[in-house]
Amino acid sequence: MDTDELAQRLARLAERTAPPPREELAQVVLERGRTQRRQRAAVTSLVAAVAAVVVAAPLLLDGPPGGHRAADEHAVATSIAGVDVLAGPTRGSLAGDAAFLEAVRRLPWTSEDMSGSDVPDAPLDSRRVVFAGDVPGGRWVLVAGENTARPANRDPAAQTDLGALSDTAIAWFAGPPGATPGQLELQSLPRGVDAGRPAALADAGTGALVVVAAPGDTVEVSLRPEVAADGEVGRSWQELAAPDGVAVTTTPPVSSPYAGALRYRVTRQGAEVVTTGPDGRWNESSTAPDVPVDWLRPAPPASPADVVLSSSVVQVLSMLGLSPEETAVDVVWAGDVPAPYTRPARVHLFSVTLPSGATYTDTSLSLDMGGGAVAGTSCGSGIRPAGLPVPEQTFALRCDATDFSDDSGVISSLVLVAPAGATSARALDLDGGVLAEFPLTDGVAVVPFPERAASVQTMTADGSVLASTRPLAFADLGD
Amino acid sequence: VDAAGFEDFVSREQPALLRLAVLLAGDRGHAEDLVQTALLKTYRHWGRITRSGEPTAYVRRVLVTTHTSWRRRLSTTEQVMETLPDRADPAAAPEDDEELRSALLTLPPRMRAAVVLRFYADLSELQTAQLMGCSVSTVNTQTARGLGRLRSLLAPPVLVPEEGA
Repeated sequence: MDTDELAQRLARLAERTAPPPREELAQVVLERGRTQRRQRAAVTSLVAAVAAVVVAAPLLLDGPPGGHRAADEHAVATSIAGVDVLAGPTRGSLAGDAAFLEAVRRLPWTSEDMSGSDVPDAPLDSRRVVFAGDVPGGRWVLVAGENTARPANRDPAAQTDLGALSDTAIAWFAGPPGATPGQLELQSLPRGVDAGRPAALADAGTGALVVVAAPGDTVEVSLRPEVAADGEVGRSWQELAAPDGVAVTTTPPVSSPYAGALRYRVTRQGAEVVTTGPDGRWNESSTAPDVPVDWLRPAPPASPADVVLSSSVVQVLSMLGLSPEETAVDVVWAGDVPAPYTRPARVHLFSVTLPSGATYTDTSLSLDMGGGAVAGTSCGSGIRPAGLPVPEQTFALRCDATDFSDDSGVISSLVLVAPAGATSARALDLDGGVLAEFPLTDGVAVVPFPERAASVQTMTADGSVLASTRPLAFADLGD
Repeated sequence: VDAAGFEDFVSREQPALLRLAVLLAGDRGHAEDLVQTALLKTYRHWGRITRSGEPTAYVRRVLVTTHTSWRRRLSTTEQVMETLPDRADPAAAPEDDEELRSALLTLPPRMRAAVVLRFYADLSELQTAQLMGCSVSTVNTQTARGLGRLRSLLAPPVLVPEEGA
């Protein structure tokens, strides 16, 4: 493929897949810009006034549990632009408890392990309690306030974190059932957020999930991606009750430390606002599950970098929303590849057989940096349909090893792992031309990556082709 | 702020920005989000930008920078993910379009940006470097690696029994 062809294909791809222009986009942006300016100007005085009312006349805020009064008073926005999901009176089952709200408003936004100049610590007079309520297995609170950690360089082009430039920051607090304000602990790193976007928190241990959206929004939840036997990936969605824009529900607890497969989707007036994962409350009852693995080949000499294998397996299971009991994990191969460092990088190739029989293959490339530090990246991943048992499959990886510094050189290796019957292999270019041939030892080879290699063929001793495969790309779980 | 001027600018530039964004982001939903975010950032500085010259380059720079820096913090007590909107409808695109789209998504964001700006937006190395806020040398390196990776991935159909997909 030459550059002219690439240019033509890129142009066609852009033309075919770009979303259609929105007539109202300029108005949406203008309104959001104006809203943010108004918030910056008004947030302090407005919230101070609300707080004064809460303190002086708590009875005025007594309302039915669940914050229905809040919903009544919160005008449903007529467009996505200008909707502030964090605005309005407090929602949640404790919204009527003025003393509780005032106490949680005063909770510190820093903790022993969550503080620093880049962590917002909203001034007290800017804080408002967005949500306070009893949730399955606990009591949670969401507080919003002024973002005090906006970067010094306000040039949008220099932004390094979405939301960091926002005027608004949020902090989640959580405690046991019936917790007093003093028993609530900071649960997530306070951070600047776009006030137009929903906020959510999930607890992997209890399965509790709270999504704070705008009144009138539709909130749905999907527990995990579903990989069919043919390798196709989908999700099923269930609508949650969210009478005042807040959904409080329980999802099945997961054994992994966080609910990595959980997604929520919010739609407003038929338009999708966001589909994303909630902030995760660490599952304190879960140590990283000890996932049993089968080694298809002997393990290499132990390396500090091997620590990455178990965490990679746990991460994949978390991403898939599956327990160790629902899967079988095979370590297909582990070994070293050259790296531009004082020691080689360790590669792990493992395959998870899913309930449908399809397999999810993942890789890790990790480097022992010394002093107990291990840096890691990936050589790709993939989903394969059910059928061929993992030990009979062939895998090709492109591993780009660096020293993990920004200006590091790169050593690219081709890792080929095939059934033992394969004795040699050759790398082919786009046109089927042979770029390199190399022998396999126990079905495995690690060789410099032949530039322009598009696929790899493995062969038996008599020269017949056993299999052909492309280097792993990256698995698409649909999100 | 010159709201009318900004509206005209959005009306004029939106289709091209969406086309650039969908190549950078890989899906429609993310592309829309990216364009809206870039325009919002541009609007905040609209007065200064229009005084200093043509805002097209500015908004494209914001688009690229926002794309390459869109990530959230991770800590041991939270997991925050990017917006995960719908993908483009694969059924609506020819197979090789989908193949190119998938291949682009395997490139790291800055490498992808370099390839798209050089070969889709047809910018010079210097223009690309200015847009990405890096050196010409870095653009060359990223472009060469990206091109090599795309060539590796955009393989023709394999002729022998295929394993996996």
